[in-house]
Amino acid sequence: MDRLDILKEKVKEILPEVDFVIGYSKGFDILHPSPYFVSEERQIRNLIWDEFCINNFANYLPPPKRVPNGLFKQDEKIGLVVKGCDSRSIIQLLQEEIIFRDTFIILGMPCEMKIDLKKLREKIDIDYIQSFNVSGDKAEVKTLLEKKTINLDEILYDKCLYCKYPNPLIYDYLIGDKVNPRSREGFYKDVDEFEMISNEEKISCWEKEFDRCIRCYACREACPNCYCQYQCIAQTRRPHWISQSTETIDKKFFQMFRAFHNAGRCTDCGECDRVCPVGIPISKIMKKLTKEVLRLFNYEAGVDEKLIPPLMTYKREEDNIG
Amino acid sequence: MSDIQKDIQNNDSNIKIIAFLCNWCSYGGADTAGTSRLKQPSEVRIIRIPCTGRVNPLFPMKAFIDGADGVLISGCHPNDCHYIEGNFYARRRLEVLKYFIDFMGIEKERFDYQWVSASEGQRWQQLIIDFVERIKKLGPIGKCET
Repeated sequence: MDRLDILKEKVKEILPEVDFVIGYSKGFDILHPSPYFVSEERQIRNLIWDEFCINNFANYLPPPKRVPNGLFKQDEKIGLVVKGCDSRSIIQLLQEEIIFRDTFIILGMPCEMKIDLKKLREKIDIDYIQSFNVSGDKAEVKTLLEKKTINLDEILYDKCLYCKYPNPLIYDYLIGDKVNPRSREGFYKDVDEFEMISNEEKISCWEKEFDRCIRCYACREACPNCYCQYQCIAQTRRPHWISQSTETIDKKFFQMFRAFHNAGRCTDCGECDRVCPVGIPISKIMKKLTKEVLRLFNYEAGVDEKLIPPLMTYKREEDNIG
Repeated sequence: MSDIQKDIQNNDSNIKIIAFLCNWCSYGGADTAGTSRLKQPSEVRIIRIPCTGRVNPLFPMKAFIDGADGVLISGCHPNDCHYIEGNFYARRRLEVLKYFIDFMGIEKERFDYQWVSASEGQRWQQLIIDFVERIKKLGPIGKCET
């Protein structure tokens, strides 16, 4: 049986227990599935599962994010479709005790790969896409204008190319069989390369990147770890950490503190990168932090619920700090 | 004119260094250096904080963004913290911060954290002189750097 059929059956099974289940359904084209709230049985047939279902649904969980938009009631129980990387976000939130395990049901989806639309767009004009078929390690893409066969390795997300946790680390029901993890080696390649360049180059590179930022805060909204909402210091006037201007320096400071607030918490889900409308490589900053945390404290965020995040604890004699 | 005033007048470097000193140890250390008339560079602006554990990593970051050329954070030696564990937390945060700002284009040499106790006036003097020398060599922070 196909993974999607098992999912549909499972959703049908748990629907009486929960208020609704969040899954994926068809978006405006095949490349953009959108989050879909299943609350009635007839909606189940609209669920889909393919290489483009990328949204991290852990973002729907933190209560501070739910209250203002009024979509959610208090103490309701929900079901979630969760990929391997999303499950790490959930574990991270559980560690912070911002969410509680008995308020949601996790439908764990082992996930082979997801396609990066930014990379795909470089290969082919995807505005008139008609079909996308995967066969082996190649993908056949058909648009109104042309037909192309592309190597999958060239269009996968970086996090998928080096995916260490394709199977959810926490789940109530596992949908289908587990898949094999890939090697992590080479994941920090771009960070290592960037570290090697001179300081002037780093400055001009970030200058160029942050100049494009329009301060839409999409990165913040898409990040499951960013749940400060109205207390986010990007917007508060008291304390007034940062001006509301669009000067490059302010935009850089915004990204710096957002990144640092995620130090030791970021699970490299890559949502910030994906949602950025101007294509700033935010996940490169995040990756740098996860790399440092791994090196200094030998810790990976969102892997073990029982561990304490490294910046919330200490050792009298640190192993890697001189 | 006193030596210090002369120093300030002759000082043509436009370098600004912010030092966050813990009230219980390093601030006392700097005070000891002062009372024993040990000369200290005039480029340093000292901010007194209750404990290094109070240092939000955003403090040094904001200082750099607002144009400081160097930031020094100093507190009690590990195991000597007035609040038992403040500097242990600080040590972890600041270590991550050091490598992080380097990645963002602020050299990690501009940032340092040290442990100075209240009796170590001499050590404080030596440390701050070295630090100012180091920053002077690096020069003022680039405009786009901030």
